[in-house]
Amino acid sequence: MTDPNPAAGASFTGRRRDRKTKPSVKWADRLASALISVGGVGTILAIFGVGLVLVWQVVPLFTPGDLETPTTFTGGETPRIDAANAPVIEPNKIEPNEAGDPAAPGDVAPARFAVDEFAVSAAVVDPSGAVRAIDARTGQALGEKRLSEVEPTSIVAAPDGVMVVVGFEDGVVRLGEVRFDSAFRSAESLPAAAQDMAEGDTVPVPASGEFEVGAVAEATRGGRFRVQTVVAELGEETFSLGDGPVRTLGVFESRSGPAVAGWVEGEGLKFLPFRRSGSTLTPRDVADLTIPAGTELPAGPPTFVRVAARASEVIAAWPNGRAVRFNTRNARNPKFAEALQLVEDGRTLTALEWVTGRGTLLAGDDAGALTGWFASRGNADGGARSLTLAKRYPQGAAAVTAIGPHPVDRLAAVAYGDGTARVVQTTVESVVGETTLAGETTPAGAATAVTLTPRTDRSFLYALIEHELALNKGGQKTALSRAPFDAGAADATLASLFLPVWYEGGPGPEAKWQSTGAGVGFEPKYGMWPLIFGTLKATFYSMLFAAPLGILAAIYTGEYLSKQVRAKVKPAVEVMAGLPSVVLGFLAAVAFAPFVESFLVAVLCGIVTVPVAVLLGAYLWQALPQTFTLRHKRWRLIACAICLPIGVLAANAVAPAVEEALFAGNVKAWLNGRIGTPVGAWMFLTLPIAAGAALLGSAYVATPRIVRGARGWKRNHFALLRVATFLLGVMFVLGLAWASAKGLTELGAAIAGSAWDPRGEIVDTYQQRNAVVVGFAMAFTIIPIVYTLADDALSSVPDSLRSASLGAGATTWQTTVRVVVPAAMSGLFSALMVGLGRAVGETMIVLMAAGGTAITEVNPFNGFRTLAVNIATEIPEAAPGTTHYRTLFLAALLLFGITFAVNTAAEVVRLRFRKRVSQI
Amino acid sequence: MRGGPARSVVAGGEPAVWLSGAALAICLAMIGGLLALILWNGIGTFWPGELVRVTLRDGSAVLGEEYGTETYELRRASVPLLPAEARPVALAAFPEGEDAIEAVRVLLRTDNRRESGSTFTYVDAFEVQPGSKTTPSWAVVLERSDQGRFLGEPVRLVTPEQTYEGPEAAWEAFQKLRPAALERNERREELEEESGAGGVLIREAELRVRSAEMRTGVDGRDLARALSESALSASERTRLEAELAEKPADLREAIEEYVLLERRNDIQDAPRLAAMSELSAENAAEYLVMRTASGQEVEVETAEVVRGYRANALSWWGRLGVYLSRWWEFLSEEPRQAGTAGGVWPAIWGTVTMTLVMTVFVVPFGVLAALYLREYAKQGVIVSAVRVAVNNLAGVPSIVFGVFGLGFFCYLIGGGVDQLFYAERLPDPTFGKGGLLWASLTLALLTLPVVIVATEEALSAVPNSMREGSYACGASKWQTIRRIVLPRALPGILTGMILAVARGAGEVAPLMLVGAVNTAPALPVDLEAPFVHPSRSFMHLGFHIYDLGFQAPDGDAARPMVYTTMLLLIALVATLNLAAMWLRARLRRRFTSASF
Repeated sequence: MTDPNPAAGASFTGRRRDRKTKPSVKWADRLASALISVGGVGTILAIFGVGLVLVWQVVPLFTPGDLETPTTFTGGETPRIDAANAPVIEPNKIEPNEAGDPAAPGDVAPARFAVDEFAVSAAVVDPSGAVRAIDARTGQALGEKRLSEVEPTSIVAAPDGVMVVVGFEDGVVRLGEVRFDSAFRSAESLPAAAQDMAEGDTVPVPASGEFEVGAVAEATRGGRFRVQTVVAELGEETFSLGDGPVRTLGVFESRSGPAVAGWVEGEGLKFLPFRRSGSTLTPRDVADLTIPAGTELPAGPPTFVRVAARASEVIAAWPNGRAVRFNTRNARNPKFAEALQLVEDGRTLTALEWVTGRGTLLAGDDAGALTGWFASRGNADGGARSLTLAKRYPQGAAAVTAIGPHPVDRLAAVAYGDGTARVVQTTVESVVGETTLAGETTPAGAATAVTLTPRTDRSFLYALIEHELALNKGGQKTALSRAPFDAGAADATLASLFLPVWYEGGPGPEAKWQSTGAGVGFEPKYGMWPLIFGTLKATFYSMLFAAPLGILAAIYTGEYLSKQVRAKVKPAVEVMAGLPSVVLGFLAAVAFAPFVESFLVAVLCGIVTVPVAVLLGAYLWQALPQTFTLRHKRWRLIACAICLPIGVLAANAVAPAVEEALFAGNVKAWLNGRIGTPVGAWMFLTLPIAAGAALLGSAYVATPRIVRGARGWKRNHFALLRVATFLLGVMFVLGLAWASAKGLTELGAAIAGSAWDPRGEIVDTYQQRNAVVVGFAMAFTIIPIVYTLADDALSSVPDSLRSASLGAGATTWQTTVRVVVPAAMSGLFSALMVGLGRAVGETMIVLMAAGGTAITEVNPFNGFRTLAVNIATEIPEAAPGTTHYRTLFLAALLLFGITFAVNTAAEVVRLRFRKRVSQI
Repeated sequence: MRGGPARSVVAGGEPAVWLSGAALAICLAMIGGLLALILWNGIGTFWPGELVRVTLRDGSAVLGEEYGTETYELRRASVPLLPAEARPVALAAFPEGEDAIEAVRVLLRTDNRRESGSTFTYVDAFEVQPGSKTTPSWAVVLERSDQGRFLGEPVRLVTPEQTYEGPEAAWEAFQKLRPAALERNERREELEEESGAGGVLIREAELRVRSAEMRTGVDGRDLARALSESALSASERTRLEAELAEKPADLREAIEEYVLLERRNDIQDAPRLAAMSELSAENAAEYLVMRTASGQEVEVETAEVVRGYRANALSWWGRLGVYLSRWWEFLSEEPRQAGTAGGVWPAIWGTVTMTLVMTVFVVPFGVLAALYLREYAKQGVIVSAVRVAVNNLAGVPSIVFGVFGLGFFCYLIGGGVDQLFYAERLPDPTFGKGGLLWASLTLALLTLPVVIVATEEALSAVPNSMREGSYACGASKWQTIRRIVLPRALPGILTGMILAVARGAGEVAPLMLVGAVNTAPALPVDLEAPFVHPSRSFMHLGFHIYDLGFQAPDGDAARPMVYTTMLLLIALVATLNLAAMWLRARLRRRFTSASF
């Protein structure tokens, strides 16, 4: 060094050099490091949060519902409840009775027990004809009213309506109503206690004048009170069912008029439908429901008479479980349908009630078994519908004493003789929750009536325990038990989502998706299988088309195109990837679908003629002098392209003849199986097999022999021979396919009597928007992905391998097939996997071009519904937190899981491939 | 050589090569055909064609623009479905013993949807009186603002002062009077806007009353409404004012403000309404009487005509003028008649703003994540696993992100924000539904993997020697990244950004769940403070295509508009993609020169 004094930080420029890092630089470095780490990790976590949020929304689907321990009220003086705080009630003390036996159910069971939708007031219709109003938050009795002076012999009320029917000794019935009237009032018209109440508090209003049987007022926002008044009325008009005493009644209520069925002592079952016009009810003729002689029934009246939805059926059941069913669709001429046994022999039928919508009957017996019945055609005999035992709910510990259906959902409360109660989901046969109604301070009796309230913020199970025990000093004989319940996502369980479920009216267990429907008592069907099937179908048909095209195109691009052409062709194919899928979907639905529909036979023929045209072109090209073909190699792609329209024209030309020969002249009618023979359908299946067989035969048997035989031939003579053998081969394949199709048809006819027909199984009806159209449109999105990744894989195979193969005398094609493709195999595979992942989740194309019905048919000419489409169409309407909403999240999670797994597999394969290639 | 030339012919595998070549040719034909289809349909839509008039055998006449001719198979059995007059002609065309013949029919765009109920009419060749096809020189196309196009001939023009009889005079007067009519329309729109603005102010004041109510726990809206009644008796007023005096100060002020605004609006609205009805009366008094091909006379107000031209008297340049003016309307106007006419300006603007906001979110975070993964994280199994996973997220279906956005952003976060800050608007959601912000965030998440992967690639392409050189010169890590690595990687990052934008602009499925709507009352970004309205729903070109193509009430009439919208969207996405390709190419060039 020239510097005499190298110390003191002096550099050879003469300037002092600062050896210390400036604090600002240090701080900037730390800040950047912290920011990037936090931001980077945060961002990555945020992306993975997507999966977590989906899981978080799905988990409640599989957690059970909840039925909490009830609060029981036994009436008397109880303070009003402050809604904000949990009710603390000191019920009257109950003396245990000596016998300890619960009273037999039925003796004291009320004809109707109802709680209004806000769960503030309750009404009980006693068998004696008395209507009582109760404060549903305190159990305090509000008032009582008798429906009629005369003692009734029978009384029934619609569990899903307001109507009550009372039967008398002289064979007449009178119709009435027990309902809750909801009205807003100001504090002035209410008891003094209403003056300073917080929102949500209630005050009981005893029976008087305008408050009828009794009322409960609830303070609402703005200082107004919503008053629920129990109203009980019985019409004066009498309708005669018969002459004897009316014993057991059943009623169905609808806007067009109710229908009453009842057992008249000494006469039997009667059916009396009404017609409503305005506010007046006109009775139609009373019809006798005659039980055919020889039907084994116990003596005495039935214990239950039930009328089905739209008054189409009447069912009467006796204590030993024997029941008869009548078809009353034609009210003038009812028909006996069947006699059946609702409980096991030796047991007693203790409860029989409809699930909401009156499609399913729940039957409970004295051993605690609960079963569900609905009309079904059954699997075995395709004929008449019969009431079928379709559901067996988990066994209870003691006799079923009462069943209370939910007014909206397919839930039912069930009370048992040991003082427990359950909420069951009637479709998926699950128990939402179970609780013991009786507590320390409550009577140890079984509930005589149960009901469920519908509002989600006020869903309670209410049970009425009527027991002599409750008759303590000055108290009443009513105990009211209230258990909050949360049905959660009870409509779906893991099993019901993925396995077949027997839905109301169906012939047997089915996998079905139908989340919303019109009408009361619609049964939501959350079976994911049709959606998963649709997703697989979409993926299959699109990959069927896109996979060979993408891979073959990539092979040609990589191995046969010059660099300059390649640089132009590759971006052109990649432009496809940028096409928004909504554009493709629209074109698929509006342009492709009608085109395929009107040229269906031509399109089908094209599948054969286009490859044949291309191959013919190849053989002819081969027959040209080699000097010409080598010099004009770069025109080969153009020549290939020219063969395509030739193939298309040929398809169009042969289409009418083919339609006449195979499809009886009208392909759409033929597809339905209405006309023609199944030969054409068999050819669908035999043609690919025959082509494959011919290909193998030619490669391993025919070609080596011909080559050996033609050893001395000139090149162009042999090439001409190849043209001839190719044409012969095509004829042979078509002939073989036709012959085997014919043979199979005959064979089917011989074995099955009539020709067994792939139509109706594999191909069936023709929908304009179908899997073929979707497959074609989807190819636009998949081809560029497969193509680009496959091309990358091929181009990463080292040129040294190609050179070695070519140098050893192999042709380009031999090099491609035996060296390049095997080396790039895992890369090609991963390209296909990524393409598959894309096909699984495509939404817009399928939404617009697949019709959207959730059916499980492999038929390529029918539509389908995929998981993605289902989400897109239904989630905007699904309310957050509902089962429906959560099942859609489950669908999203499934898609997420499938694509993530497929892509990860592809990525792992690709990484291994890269490693291998770099080692070569 | 065993086998000789025969063997070499087989070994060449020409047929298989041709099949591969055909596959490539099919791919190219598919993309070419698709683009041609869209271009053909999209570009031609706005070209004003000639109007032809044909007389049918039953004496009626049809006027319309020819949209195409199609041949179809007519069977003997379906002849009775033809109009009565055409049946014998059709039957005569059947050769002896033949059951089906090729028949020809012409699709005419006859418009006059209000008058005839349909936009398109098929005219069977058998129906037409031979030689009756003419191109009447006075056939006029009038595009009405909300009734669809009208095709017919002018009869006279009526103004309060004068009536111009005959097509020539009427048309001339129409051209002369139109500027004034358009001015009236503009004036009317201004008035409507003003009155709308007043309404918005009142609505805001009402929300303030509501929020004061919630703060104080005292009711006040009923009082506010009662006080702002115009016809209020004196005694009533004193009673209400006494009631007002009892309210808490907070609420009282809000109520007073509301009442003031209401009254002011009442006072200002009266002359506005008068002016508006006067303009309407003026518009109604000045109209063209037009005659349709079937002879019906229809009155068309000059003010409701958006565009009018004599279809058969136009020169080529005239046609070009109409064509360009239609394009301009398409790009700059709002949709009319449920999207079948007018433009797509709100959709363009919605797409652009949504994409921009998305970019603002996605680029910084994507770059941060990539920097962390490539420059800061310790390379190992975990980081490679994260890298693979991030890469794979790019393959997760977009609808899944939409579901996430709806459940997380709209319902959870948005619902929470509403509870906290917009409680006075509940139960109408403000942020608790789809909107610009949530849509942008959802798409940002969707495109984040694209940006991360592209940025990482760009970062890893910067040679390590450059970093080491920088460190050797004494630079800190951040200085190296900022001065050496990022500038080199910038084109790569930009490529990633553009790819993300292209993907984001073309996505529709998630947007259907988180904020795209078919008609948005207001733009998400406009000239009203605070200029960007993150909670507003918006229109989107892709969703517009879906909605117009599948949900529009008059699907046939909407179809041409769908094609032009598609053309626009594809042009947008293709431009972005091409920009990305160009940048990538530039980037490669730069690297080859930069490596040493």
